[in-house]
Amino acid sequence: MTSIRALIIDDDADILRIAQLSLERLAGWTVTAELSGGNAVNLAISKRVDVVILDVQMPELDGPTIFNMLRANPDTAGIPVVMLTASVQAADHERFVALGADGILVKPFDPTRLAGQIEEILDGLK
Amino acid sequence: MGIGNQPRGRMDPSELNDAIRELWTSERPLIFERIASLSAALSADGDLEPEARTEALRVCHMLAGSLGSYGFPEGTRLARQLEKGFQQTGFQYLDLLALTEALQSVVEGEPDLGREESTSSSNIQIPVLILDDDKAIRDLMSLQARARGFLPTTASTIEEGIEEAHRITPGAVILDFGFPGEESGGIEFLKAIDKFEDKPPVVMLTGQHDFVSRLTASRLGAIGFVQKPASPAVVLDLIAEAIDRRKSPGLQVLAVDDDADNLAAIKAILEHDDIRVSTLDSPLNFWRRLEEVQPDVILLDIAMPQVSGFDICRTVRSDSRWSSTPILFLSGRSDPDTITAAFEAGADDFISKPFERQELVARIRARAQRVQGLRRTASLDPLTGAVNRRAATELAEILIRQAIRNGGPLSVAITDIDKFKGINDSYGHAAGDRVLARLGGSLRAAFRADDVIARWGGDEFVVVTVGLDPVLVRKRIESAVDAVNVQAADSEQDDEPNISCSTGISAYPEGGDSLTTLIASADKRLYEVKSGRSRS
Repeated sequence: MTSIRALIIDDDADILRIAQLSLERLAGWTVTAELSGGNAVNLAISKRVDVVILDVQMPELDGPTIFNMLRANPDTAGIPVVMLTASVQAADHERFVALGADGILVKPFDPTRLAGQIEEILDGLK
Repeated sequence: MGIGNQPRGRMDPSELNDAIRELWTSERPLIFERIASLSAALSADGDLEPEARTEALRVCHMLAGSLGSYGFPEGTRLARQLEKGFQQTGFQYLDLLALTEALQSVVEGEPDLGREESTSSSNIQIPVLILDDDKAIRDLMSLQARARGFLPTTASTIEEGIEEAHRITPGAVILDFGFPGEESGGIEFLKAIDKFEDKPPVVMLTGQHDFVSRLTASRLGAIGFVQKPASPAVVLDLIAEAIDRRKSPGLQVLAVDDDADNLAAIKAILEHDDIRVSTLDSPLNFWRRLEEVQPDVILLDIAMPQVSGFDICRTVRSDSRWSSTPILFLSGRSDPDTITAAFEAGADDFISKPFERQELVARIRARAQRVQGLRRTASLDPLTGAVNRRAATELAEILIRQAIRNGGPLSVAITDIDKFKGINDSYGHAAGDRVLARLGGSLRAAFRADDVIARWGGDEFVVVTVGLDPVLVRKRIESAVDAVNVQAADSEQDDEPNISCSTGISAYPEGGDSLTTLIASADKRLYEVKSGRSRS
């Protein structure tokens, strides 16, 4: 199986480090990690990512804004996007589904299962 | 298994946990700073300025999002409570300060990494309050609860219990009925938590108590009663089931009626009560729909063109896979002949239109719960929690028919434990049983609820999955086996055997298009793996 290329954007450096450890070292993915979403579209294209993982609450550009930027560009519109949220409110989750997110992951995640959870979401899209 | 072909630099779950622990050590000062900033905000005079409040909320949100991944699920829970607290205007200063202090003391402890694998992951982070005046019972329940992934907290008096309940907002409660000096102290506790927004399920440990107190208790939300001396396993099973029920997306109903307006009304009513509804306005597609939806309850109209509800009911009843699914008739007719005919056709219940919303919901729930309870006990292998061979065959056949229809990938894997007889011989049968139980548990944790995980016989497990590449199936089975060995190493038993497993996988359509042929080709692969291994 070829390795999955992912772009993850979260303003919490801890989350990026844990996710990177988990996805790269445990699951063998190639991960690009960013603290903010200004470059999201360019990175998604240049790194030819298979999935984008977006934090929701971020200063400046928040997750839904970055999501819309990705969907607005024909080169990135088809890339699956998973929202990574610390919220456990059903209303928030419904909002992400309405927005068109391909999956929702709740923080804190279990680092030993993160890749599997995302793979499951990607499998479901096939 | 499989470790040799991993690329260099790859970690296994326990190495990953070590790496995260290391990361925690270096990041801890920053987290401490964040928590200190919360205390500082709270210690400032007067109410918080809007900016300070926003900043505090941001910090809480971040802490909630990361602490659990660092191995502090309790830290995440406290941070969420703090976040909630900061959102309220006129919040309780002292409460928030106390929460902040509690958070600080939690992160000063050791991260709880890697224990996830030794337990069913679904219970993680759920705090359980154990309220009993008998220390032995508290300790016993607490130990078992922890072993199953809950976060137990104990209290010995009603007063202390109420206080703890407010502090930890438990996800479930184990409650003694009587306390010294307070014969029905348990009831007092139930009354105290009755006002909770999110009332936890409560299992009561009872001695000889009269029917009336039990009735009072169940009215106040007690979901189960276990006679003392209570087996912790029984009590925790009840709790896990109650929690699963709350988490699960609810009951699934299939409603068949040729009148689209009726269907829309039924759907609206039931969905209002969190019951999922699939509707069908032409009985001709019934079987196809039945297998797609796999309903917990079927609702049938009687008079329909083409096929009558009675006929559908009779055919459902004659199929062993669906014979126990509750069937309720909804009809505008209420004459004795029609009702008799419905029950003769195999109906479980008959509801005349117009009906009361509440009554319909209550009847559906009651039917479904009874059957689910019966089905669980009849089809599960008690040692491993996997489904038994008979139930697995039925479930797998449904999945295979679906795969054939959708052309979707379906894999059948057979896994057995290498030299299991040797394990029994040298470690004893009890150790062998523990291995089987762990393997059953971690296989279930590694796959989805829709997948079939079966104990096929002896030390042989069968996994049937839809929509998953066989490579991933193998990977998941391997990780489940790794988890068994981690659990063995972590267990209180001194000398637990390490196991390895061999797995043969076949996939539809290459490997066959029936359970028999798919099992046969998976078995052939397994045999090849085994003979390859013994030669080398």
